[in-house]
Amino acid sequence: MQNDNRLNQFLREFPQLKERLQTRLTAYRSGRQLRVMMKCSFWAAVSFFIGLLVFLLAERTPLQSEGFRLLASAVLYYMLFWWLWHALTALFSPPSPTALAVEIESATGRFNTGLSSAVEFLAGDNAASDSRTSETMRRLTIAEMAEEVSDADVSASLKAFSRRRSAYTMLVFAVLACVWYLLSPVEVGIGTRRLLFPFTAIAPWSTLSIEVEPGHGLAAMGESIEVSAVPSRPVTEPIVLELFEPDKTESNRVEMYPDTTASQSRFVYTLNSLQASLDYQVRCEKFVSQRFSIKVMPRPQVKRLQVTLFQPAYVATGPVKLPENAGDGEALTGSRVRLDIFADQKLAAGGIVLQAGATQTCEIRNSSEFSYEFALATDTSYSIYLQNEIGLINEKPVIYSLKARYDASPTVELLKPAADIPFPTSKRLDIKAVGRDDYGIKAMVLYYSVGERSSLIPQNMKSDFRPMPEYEVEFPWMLDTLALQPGTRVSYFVQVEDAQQPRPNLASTTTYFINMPSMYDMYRGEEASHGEVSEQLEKYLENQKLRKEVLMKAYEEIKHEEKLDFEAQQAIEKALEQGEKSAKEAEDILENFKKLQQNMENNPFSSPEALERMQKVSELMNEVLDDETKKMMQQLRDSLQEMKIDPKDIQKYEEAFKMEEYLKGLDRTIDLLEQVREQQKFNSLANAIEDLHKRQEQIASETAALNEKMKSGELSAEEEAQLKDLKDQQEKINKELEELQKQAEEMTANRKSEDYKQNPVLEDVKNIRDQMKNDDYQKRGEDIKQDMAQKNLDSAAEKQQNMLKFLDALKKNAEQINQQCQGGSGSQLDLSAYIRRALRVSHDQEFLYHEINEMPNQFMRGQQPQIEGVIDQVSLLQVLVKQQGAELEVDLDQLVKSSFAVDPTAVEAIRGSQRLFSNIVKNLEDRALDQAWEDQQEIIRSFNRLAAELMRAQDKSGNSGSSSNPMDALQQFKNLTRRQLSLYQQMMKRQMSPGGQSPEEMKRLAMEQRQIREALEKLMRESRQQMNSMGRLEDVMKDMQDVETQILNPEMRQKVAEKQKSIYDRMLRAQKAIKDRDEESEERKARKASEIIQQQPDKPIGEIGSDTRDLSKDFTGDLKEEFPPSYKPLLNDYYKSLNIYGGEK
Amino acid sequence: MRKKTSFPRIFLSFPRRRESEDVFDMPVFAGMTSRIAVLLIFMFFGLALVVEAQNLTYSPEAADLYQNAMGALRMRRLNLARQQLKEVMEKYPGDVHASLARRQIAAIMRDQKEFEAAIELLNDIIAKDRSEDTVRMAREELLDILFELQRFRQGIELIEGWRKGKEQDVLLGRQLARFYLQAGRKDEAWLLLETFVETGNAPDAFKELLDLAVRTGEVEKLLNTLETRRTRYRSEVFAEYASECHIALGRKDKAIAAILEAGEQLDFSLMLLRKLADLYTDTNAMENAITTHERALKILPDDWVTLRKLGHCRFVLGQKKEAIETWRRPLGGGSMPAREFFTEFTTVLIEHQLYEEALQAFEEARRMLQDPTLFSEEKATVLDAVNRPAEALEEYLHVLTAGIYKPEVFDKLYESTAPGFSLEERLLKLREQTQNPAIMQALLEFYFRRADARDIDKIETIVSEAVGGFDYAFYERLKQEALLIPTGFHFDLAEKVMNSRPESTVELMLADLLLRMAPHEDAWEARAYDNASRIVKERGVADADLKATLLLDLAKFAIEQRNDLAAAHDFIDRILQTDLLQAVPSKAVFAALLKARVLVYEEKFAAAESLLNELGKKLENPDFEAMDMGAADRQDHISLHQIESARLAMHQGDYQKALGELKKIVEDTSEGDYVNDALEMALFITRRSIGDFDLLKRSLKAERLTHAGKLTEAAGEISEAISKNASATALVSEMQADLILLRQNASDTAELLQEIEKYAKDNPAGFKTADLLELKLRLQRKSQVPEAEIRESLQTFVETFPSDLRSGRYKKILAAMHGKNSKEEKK
Repeated sequence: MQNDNRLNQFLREFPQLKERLQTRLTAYRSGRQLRVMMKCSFWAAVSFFIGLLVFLLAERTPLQSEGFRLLASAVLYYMLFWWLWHALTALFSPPSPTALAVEIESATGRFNTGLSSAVEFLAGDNAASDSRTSETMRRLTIAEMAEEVSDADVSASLKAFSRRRSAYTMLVFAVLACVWYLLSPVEVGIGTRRLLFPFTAIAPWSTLSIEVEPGHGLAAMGESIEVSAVPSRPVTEPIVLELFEPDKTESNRVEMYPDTTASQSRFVYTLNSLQASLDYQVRCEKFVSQRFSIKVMPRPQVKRLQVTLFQPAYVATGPVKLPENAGDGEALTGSRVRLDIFADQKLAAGGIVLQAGATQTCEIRNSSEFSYEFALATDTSYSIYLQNEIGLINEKPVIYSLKARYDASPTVELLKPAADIPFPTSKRLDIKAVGRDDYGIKAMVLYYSVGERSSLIPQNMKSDFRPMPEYEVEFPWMLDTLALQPGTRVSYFVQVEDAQQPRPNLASTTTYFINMPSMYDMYRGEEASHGEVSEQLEKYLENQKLRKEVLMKAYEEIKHEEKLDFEAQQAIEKALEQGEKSAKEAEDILENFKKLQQNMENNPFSSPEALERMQKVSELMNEVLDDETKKMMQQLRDSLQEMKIDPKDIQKYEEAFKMEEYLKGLDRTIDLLEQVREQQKFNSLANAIEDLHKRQEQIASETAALNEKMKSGELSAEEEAQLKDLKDQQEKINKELEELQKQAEEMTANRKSEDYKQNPVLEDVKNIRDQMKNDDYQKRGEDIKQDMAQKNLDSAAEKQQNMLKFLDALKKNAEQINQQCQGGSGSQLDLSAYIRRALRVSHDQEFLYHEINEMPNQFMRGQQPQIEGVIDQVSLLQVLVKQQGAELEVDLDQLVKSSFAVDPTAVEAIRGSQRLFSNIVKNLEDRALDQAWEDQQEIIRSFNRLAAELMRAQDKSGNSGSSSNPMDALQQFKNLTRRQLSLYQQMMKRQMSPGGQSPEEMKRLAMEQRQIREALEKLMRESRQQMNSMGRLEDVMKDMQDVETQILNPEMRQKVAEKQKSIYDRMLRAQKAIKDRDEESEERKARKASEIIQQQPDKPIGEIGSDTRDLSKDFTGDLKEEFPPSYKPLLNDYYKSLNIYGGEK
Repeated sequence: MRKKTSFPRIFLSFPRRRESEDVFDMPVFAGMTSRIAVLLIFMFFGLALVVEAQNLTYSPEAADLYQNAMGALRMRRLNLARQQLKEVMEKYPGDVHASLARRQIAAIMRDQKEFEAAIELLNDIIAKDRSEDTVRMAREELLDILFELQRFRQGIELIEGWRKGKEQDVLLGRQLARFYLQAGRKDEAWLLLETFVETGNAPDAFKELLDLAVRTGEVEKLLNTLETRRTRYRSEVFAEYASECHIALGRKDKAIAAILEAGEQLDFSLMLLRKLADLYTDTNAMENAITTHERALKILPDDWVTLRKLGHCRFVLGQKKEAIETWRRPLGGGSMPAREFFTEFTTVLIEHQLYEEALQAFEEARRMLQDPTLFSEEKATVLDAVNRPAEALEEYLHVLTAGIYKPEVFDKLYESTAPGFSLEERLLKLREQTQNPAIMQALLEFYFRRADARDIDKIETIVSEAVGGFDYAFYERLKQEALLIPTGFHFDLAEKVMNSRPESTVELMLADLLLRMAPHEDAWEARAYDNASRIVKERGVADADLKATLLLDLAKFAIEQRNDLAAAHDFIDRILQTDLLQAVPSKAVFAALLKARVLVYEEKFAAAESLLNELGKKLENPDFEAMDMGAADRQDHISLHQIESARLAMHQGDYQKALGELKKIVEDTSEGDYVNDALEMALFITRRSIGDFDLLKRSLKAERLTHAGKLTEAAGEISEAISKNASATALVSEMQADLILLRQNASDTAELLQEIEKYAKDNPAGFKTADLLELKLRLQRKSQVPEAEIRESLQTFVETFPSDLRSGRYKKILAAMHGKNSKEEKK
């Protein structure tokens, strides 16, 4: 019953009991959670300490390695995780109530399975609460258990989760770790970190520590930095410096080297001329230092320096800027100087350091520029000081200096003509003067005076008074306003003044004279230079011949002895040396010749024929002297080099070495030059006589006029001077007559009667000579002079008339000479003999060819005895034909050398025929008939060609005089060119002659010009095809047309003459163009490439471009194409027009 | 550098002395011959292969045309050849000959100095032609041109271009080196050659490199280079190169050392051993040379070159017997020694002046080869050398008996002065024994040399008995005399033989020859003319071409020598109006043109003009097949036609037209046979074109009159012309000479001689003086002046005109006279 009561009570109090049981269970659960958590934490700590201790121990043993570190770390983390897992599981996922109940049951051992059943029923939805157990039963069980379970049970059960053991264990290991830490805190620290962060690069603890200098740093670009490392103890391994690019991990390793100078153990490494920022660290044994970085920055520099000089107003109108970055300069004392400095980076400070000492800080503009201004009192030196934002300053700044100058005197120089010269035929003197002053030439004046007169006449040569540091001017001084006679002279000099104020400095040239020459004087000068050139040439030829002989001798020797002995070598080397010398000589000659040619062109004495021939000679000269000598030198040198060794090849070199032909060319040139000279001599003699006659007339008329005046009263000073001039002139005429006589005698001396037959001009010269011999003109001239000196003008006039009569007689002969010189251009050339000889060779050769041409091609000697006799005969005769050919070749060479009419190329046709002849004979001997035929045919062909060429030459020489036969266009054009030249010469003559020109003559000249133009137009129309390559001649024709009218205008005569010359030049050029075109295909030759040499500027960069040199010189110097010297003024004008020409523009 | 080609001995029918550099060895021959045979076969099929490989065609017409062109080229008719080659190219562009023709055209252009065009064409060939061979040859040609023009840079650029991708081409490389060298780029040339030498297979490159080193004096450097890279070469190659360098430096001792360094390899290199032996010989180390030669003989036993040298070494050491034994070594072999061996053997004996041994060897050879006349000539020379002339003569006769006629041998026999030796007798005797042509030839030559009128019959017999077999030899022998200075003996002989061989080719030839001899003696003219006219009139045709030639020559003879225009017509018509016209169409054209000329001389201008016009038309469209002639003939026809047209125009007074025609010849056919004639005619016109052409007109008139036989009128015309043109001195003096020449047949010889003398004195070197002096000689002979005078005239001529062809003859006469005189003096 009691039991029932209890049961009922239970049932009644069931809700409370149920509540109680639940509370008890909850308490257990909470306690369990706490205890498990704590235990796991402690064990985790224990694992950590053990792991640490083990790791630290291992780190001290050879076990130490990154692998072990990883392993240890993994184990440790595994353990920690393990404990954590347990703690968290206990906390967040505690066992179910049933399980808890079971735990309690097992811990207490009391409830059997009651508690667990009760808890099951309590849950209600569990599997245990199925329908097999009644509700009451369940309730009873629950109530019963609620009664049964006490707090003690709960706490007893909780004891199963002991915290104490773990706490103590933890404490023990913690103490161990602490002790270790106390002994070596860094080691424990590093060990802990290494263990906890296995993937972080932490060097293991080592007993070594290194002090690294300079740590983080800043360096100027290009500077060096020394990294030093001081280890705490001696190291067993080298200390390595690792260098990194910023933010990169790859490194370069270098070993640091011990600093032997240091007192302690120290290692250094110098980073030289740093260019970019970098990081570094030091490593030794187990020690690795921190990663330091060095920042590299450029030093500040002057990017641009601009010096501006503000000079006094008279020196320059505006400020003068020195070239950029030029800090040195000169300036007049008192000039203001402004310096503008631009740095290449932002600046913190900047200034000018004046020597010695004073620093002027300047205000920074735009963060990188500043300026400084000062007045120049004396020579000043300065440098520029810059500091950038990080404090780097520019190192070793350039010290510039500014010189203070005082105005110096100017200089003046006469560049052209810079010598006493004869009166120019063009009646115009181109004076080229250059004045230089440090601060500018203000004025340039030409002063001149005429004859004995003392007054100086100024002529301004500078158009304005603007000062110019260098003033060069080519001033055309028109002399046609001065009425001068041969025998008088003009003196002149040039004066310059500079801009100095208040009183300018002056400078002047020496005084030069212009001598009014006679025609004869002009010719004499030229004749002398002509003679000089041919003499030089002859000497040159002689030298070359000698040289050739020496060489040949040497060659011979070598050929015989088959080696180059010392003497032969010497000989050749000497010849080589001489060759070099003669190359120079040749250049001189050429130069002289060019001058001569130019002179001749300007000389009215020169007949067009002579000029044309001169042109030809010039071509020859160019051919022979210029490149040829150089080429020969080269050949020589090559052959010498090659010869050193193989005497067998000498034959070959001899062939290559074409000295023979070269000498022939020289010979021809000399002969032709002589011929020109000869003709010119005759021509000039005649012209001189005509000129004398004219001048004597002039003197006579002027004397008469003075006589008139004297009769009416005393002469003025001016007239006195005039009379003196006349006397001088008369004296000059006397002298010239004397000279002429001498010349005529010279010309006729040693002449054979044959010469007279060949050259009818000689007869006239002889007449002149005889007349002069028979007349005592000397005495008469002397008398006239004396009379004039004594002012006995009546008597003088009378004698002058006698003199005129005498001159008249001479003039007649002279006119004849002139006619012959101009009319017949030498005697008609008869080439027929040569032609016939060429044909003879051809015929004879043909005959021989036909004798053998039906025989077998080739057979062994002795194989065909029946015909070999004939072949032998032919071979014998062949030798004769060869001889004919050789003789003809020699004679033709002679002819070509001495005649303008035959083009040397005509002889080219049979060049090498001698070799062919020899081959024929040889082949005949060898019975190689087919080859002999071939050569025989070639001989026939070449001699036929020679004959044809000669006939052509004959035709040409025959045609040049008459117009009956059709000429080719070029020939016609040539004739026109010649006529144009002749016209120009006449014009010059008129200008030269003191009397000036009569309108009738001018009209005649105008007509002639017109005829030439019309002929040219016709020619252009008719043979357009041939002429179109001459370029455009329209402008030439237009100029001609202009000249036609301008000739008649006395004011324009100067211009007309120039124009005519230009027309002639252009026509010549066109002519050359055609010829060139014809020859072009043949003449092209390869040239060896020459090394290009870089030209060093001859001045500092700053000055180049600021000078006013004559650029035309540079340009014309480099012109590939040759142009006649007479083109120079034209070209100069052209350059002027391009405005690149220094001077007044 | 071209290697000297040596031809295998067995291909030469005549024994020849060995040259010292000869490297041919007998045992090698067999291989060589077969190799050459193979080579020939290859060459034969080469063209076919080329044709096949490049899809080219082969047309026989193109081949014909090409061959024609090449013929013209050989005759130096460049323009004609060029034109025909161009035709080949245009007509048969795909033919194999077209590409050949292009190359030939380039060569012609080069000959004609059209270098630019030639270069362009060659470049084109190189770029387009697919045949490697052609390209290679074109390249070589092009490079040669560039080299000749000294355009080194262009050449270098070209070669460098070609070499791209073919750096191993040794030929190109060497060419490049050559250009580099000329362009002054010596170092590059050196480098290039060095590369070739090092990469091997280019011994020629080494030669060139050595050459270069020698020229620049850098042999030492080359030697050093070789030394430093010694390991790259096989030891014998190195020895070869190094020894060459030493030899170039003149250090033979070092060269020997260098070769010896090759060690055992030496025993396998015949060339090196030979070189070594030669070096020993040169340095007079004969013992060493002998051992070396023996070593060489181990490689190539019985090698004659080595044996000869070995023997020579022994001989020099004074071991004469051993030397001979050495040389005889091939005899000891099993095989039968050939004739060539004895040639070599005796040659070497004679070289060493072992004459007795040589004579023995000759006998031995005759015995062994069973030919009793073998080596007669050689033996005779030896006998001569040991001064046994009688035996020598016998041996020389042996040569003739052997059937070999040699002028040298005959000379020996003829000039022999041995007592009791009569060549004629011996020859006649020999002739009886054998009908040997060499004996006959010798006999003929003997009679010709003797030139005795009594021998004429004998010669005639010889020639006749040979029944044509000797015609050619006889004719040529006679021609040889006729070419210089025929004598009465020759004329009579020719006449005799001619008459004895009627209706034969030789008759016609001799008739022509008689005409050629005729101008030498006045008496011969009529005889020759009559004989020839008789022959052409009476006999049938033995050879149409020869007969036509004879007729033409006769016509010319009638015009020029006899001034008989009617006879000339007759002769010409015998061509134009008989069957000959068909048989020899080409000659007929010449005949027609000659007829035109005769008509001009007869002043039948209209007839001449129509004839020329007709001919001109025919020539424009020639029927080649029918006329059976080549393009060169046609060109000649056209040229001659132009000349005759010009002559007609000239005589008609249209000088401009005449000159125009002549200009055509000179310019269009600048290499034909008639250019010089055309030029001469042009010169005739231009020289005489003075004033109103009176001089020219009269000269022409005189020419016509002369040819028509009206000499007096002609002389009148000339005198008139002279009197009217006193100023033209040179011309007038020539015309005066013409006047004298016109009177050459005048009776008053003395006066004529005087005039000639005067003229020659006034114009010693005048153009016509030679002709007059010739006339003088004839007149002198005619008037039978003393020989001394004739001799003086001859002497004068020879001295004044030494290079005149006549001088050649006169010199011979002078020499003969001199010889005769001296003989007489001796007697």
